[in-house]
Amino acid sequence: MRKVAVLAALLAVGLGAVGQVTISFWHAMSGSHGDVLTALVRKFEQENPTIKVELVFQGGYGALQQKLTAAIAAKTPPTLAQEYENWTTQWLDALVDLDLFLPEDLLADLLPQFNQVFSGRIVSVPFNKSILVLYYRPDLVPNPPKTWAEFETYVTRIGKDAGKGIYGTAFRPTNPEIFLAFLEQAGGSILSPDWKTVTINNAQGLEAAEFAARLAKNALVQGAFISEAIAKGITIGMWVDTSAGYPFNMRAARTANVPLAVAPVPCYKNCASMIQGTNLVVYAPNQTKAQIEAAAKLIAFLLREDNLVEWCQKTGYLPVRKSVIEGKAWQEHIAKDPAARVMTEQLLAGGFGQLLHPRYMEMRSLLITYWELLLKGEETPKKIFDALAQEIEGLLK
Amino acid sequence: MEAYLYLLPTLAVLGLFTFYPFVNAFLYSTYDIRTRSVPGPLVHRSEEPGWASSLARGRIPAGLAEALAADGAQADGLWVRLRESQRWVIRDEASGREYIVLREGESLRVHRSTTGWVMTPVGWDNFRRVFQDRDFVKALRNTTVYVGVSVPVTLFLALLLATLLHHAVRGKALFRLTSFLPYITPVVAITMVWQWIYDRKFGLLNYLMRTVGAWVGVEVGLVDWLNNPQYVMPALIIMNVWRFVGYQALILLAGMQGIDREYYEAARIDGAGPFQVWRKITVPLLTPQMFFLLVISLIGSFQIFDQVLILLHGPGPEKSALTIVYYVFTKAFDANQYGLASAASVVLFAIIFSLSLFQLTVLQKRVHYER
Repeated sequence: MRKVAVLAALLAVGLGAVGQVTISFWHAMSGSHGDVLTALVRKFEQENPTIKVELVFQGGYGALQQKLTAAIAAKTPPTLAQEYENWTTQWLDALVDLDLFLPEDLLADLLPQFNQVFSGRIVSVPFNKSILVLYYRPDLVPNPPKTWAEFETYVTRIGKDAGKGIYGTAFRPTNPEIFLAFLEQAGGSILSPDWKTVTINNAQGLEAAEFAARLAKNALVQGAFISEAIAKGITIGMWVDTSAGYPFNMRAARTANVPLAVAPVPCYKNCASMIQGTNLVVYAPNQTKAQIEAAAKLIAFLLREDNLVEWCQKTGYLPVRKSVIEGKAWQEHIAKDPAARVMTEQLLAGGFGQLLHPRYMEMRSLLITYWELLLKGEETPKKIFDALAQEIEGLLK
Repeated sequence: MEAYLYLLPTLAVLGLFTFYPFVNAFLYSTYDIRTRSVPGPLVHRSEEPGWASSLARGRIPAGLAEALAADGAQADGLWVRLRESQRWVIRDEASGREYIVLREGESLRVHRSTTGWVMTPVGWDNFRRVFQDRDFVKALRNTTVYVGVSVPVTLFLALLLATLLHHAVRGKALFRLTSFLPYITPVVAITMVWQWIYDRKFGLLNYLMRTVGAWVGVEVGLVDWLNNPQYVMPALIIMNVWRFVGYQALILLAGMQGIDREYYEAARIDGAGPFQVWRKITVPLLTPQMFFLLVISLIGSFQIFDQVLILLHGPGPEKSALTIVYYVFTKAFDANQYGLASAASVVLFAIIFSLSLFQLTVLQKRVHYER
């Protein structure tokens, strides 16, 4: 009798394995973020016993990008991966149209701020998203600035004393997204809406550049994260940084024993702020339809209200769905957490994403070069931006 | 025949990991390479107006399913995975094969399709773009400075060290070992340690400089080795000189020990002083070793990459440590421009090749091989 039972059990396991699907998911979520993601994926596997997810942490965004690049060239990409918009444009044809696999109401519920249409296709879904906000020292800046003029006044008043390690603000040359927020706020853009002409050096563009250049005179300019300077005891009045850096900046402030708080970025013609972070995409090469469907199921699971709220509460990322932001759980969370409320309001007030131009990758690389020149302040903003515009024009040809 | 059999393992490894990529780099440098779905053999042609709107909704028109079934596809396993306004990609789940539907005006063409690297020949365009790229010019300049300083300095210091090691009697073995240690330690470990040595506030180098400065009564400021564009290249050079000096000294020492004593005895009988002996006998007779080191270190220095990546986590402030190989790396694996990266690596090859050729033809004439 027992033999029969064992046999039946084995048979059941064997039958179960027949419908088993294994998918791979490459990500760049380190530390506690990675733990939260792993926990959610394990929960997904429990709810879907026929799906097994091989979660692969690739060490960081740089490594993830390089490995994806190589894997796609070798036609062996994972089923699912996190990626930035400007990576997605590099290998659009290798991706699956996700609107054919995800529920319509889920896609319709995504905030328009995260709108991502590549050549008319929906191939990505926003996932770990953050936004630029203003970090400030309440002891030096009692009322966080609401306008560019107030921002500049504060920064000038705090000034710059490299010897004592005091700076009005701080910029990272590798992070031109701050400039793009200024640009958007001034009503400017990198390219015209039809992508035919370069507009970054028009009147609005120069206004943003001149504003940044004036701030840069009293700024700490360094390649490392601003939190590293804070932890070393350097005083910075306020700076624009991603909301994803919140835990790091706060920890640095605690180390240095200084107060730190967040506010929305100061506004100019509008209150735009740039969205950061990656999306989820599904690859076609080397994948079966069952794997692709399983990946879509995982995406839908991660964006389900309970999971999305858990993900965002534990990581500090922003919910990407309208209904979740307005939902009871998130509203209760931001009522208790003022920083999360500021970030949520910032997103709703003026979140915008990357330019989805196929050559934005190279444009961003140029932006970094010229943003650094602007911060250095050895030449006039006009001269720097005319040269930048000329180089971007070269890319459009 | 037997000799070839013994050579086979080496040739196989070299062929796969050196010669094959080497040839491909030349090939790729004249192409623009992108990941695309491209049409293969034509399967079907149609004028059906309803197909496009069906495909746009992700549905396979019955007529299309029939046409694909005729090509061996399983009609009920077909699904759409890519929809643009003028082209669609359909997967046949049973075989894993893909088809691409292209619209031109009113007519639709159905092809078998593959998704992968598409290589479009662009002639010399990649080379033109490389030389127009400010970053490449900067990388070229930085690398030249690095090679121009670090190679002669290392060789000169190695010669001094070898001379000292040759003459020092006590603890010779210990000195030899310690000077060789940097060379056998992994670069990553070395670079991590140097990262600390170069730290502005807590680093050993600034501490030493200030201490020595204080002795002689000079106030030395804190140098921000890794964040000030002026000091990044010197920092890189110092680290690499330190790393290679022991290895080079050991080679030179071996050379010195091989010099026939008769020359020295003859010189001493003729009344030559120690410096004269060194300059007129030791150095000239060491030229074969020095020449070998020059060729090897020049090639190696032009390829500097890993130290930059680990020491600075990037090309350094204002790209002050952007080297040619680092440029190649970022163009290929960050910017996804394999053609451009290959062109840059071909340029690097041309530089190294012509310099080596110069050394082997012109410089070698000054090497004393006769003993």
